[in-house]
Amino acid sequence: MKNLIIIGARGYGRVIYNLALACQGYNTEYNIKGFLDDNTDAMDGFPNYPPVISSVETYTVQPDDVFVCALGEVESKKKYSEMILNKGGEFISLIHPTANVSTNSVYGKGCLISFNAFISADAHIGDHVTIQPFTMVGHNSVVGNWCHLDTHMFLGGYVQLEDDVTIHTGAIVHPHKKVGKGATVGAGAVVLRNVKEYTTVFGNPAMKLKTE
Amino acid sequence: MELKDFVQNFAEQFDDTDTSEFQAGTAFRTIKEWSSLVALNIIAMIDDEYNVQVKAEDIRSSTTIEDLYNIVKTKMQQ
Repeated sequence: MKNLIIIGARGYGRVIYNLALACQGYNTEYNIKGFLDDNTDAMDGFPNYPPVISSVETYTVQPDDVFVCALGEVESKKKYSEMILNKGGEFISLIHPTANVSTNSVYGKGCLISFNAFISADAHIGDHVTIQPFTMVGHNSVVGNWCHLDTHMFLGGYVQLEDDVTIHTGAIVHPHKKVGKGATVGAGAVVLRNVKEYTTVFGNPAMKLKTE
Repeated sequence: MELKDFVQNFAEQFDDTDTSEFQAGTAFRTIKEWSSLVALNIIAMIDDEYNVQVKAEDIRSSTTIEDLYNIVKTKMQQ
């Protein structure tokens, strides 16, 4: 039996604890050991959760440990996951039993696929991808490593997301469109054109957020 | 603003038409993939890249890509 450790003990950490309880592997492949967070008081006022063990920085990886990262923002998810990867830690994926992963669709390590997410046929999802409830990932789409897909977002068929992309709540990406590395698509945006890397787009049709 | 770059940006709004089909003198409405959605994307591209707002009327009154380029160029100078 493995010991699952959740990185991040804030609001989203507690959500992912509940995801871990609901997944098939709970009590058969893993038990939940606790959280890593630099705020050791993070669970004060929240009963019924396992303890905060230590910070990510000071934690020593044990032989039976496995990890998931419950941080909602790509940059910090990457930073703290890489700290554990560099210490030799192994990440597992949690797939809620109501999530649908269709024929030939694959996902990597460290993914969190929440309830009622629908991954259509022949999609390819990388490592450490967070897929929130009620999302729809189109057939033949490619989702790069570290991406974050928020609730109710929709990717059409053959959409390509490069690494480190964030698609916020309720956004729609038109079929065949590409979203470049590190780009952000704002809530409710309708992406009709390719999105360039490291840009933020918003609105319908989605446009670059202007800085001037 | 370079005409060559404008043609390139114009061509990138199409999914299925090879970029080699796009020249300054291309009558864009004769391209099979041309649609109202592509027209909307052209308007959005011009706003994003050149900070200029063109109207559907500007697209309608243009025949070639260069015609539209000249409208954008004029609006940039205003």
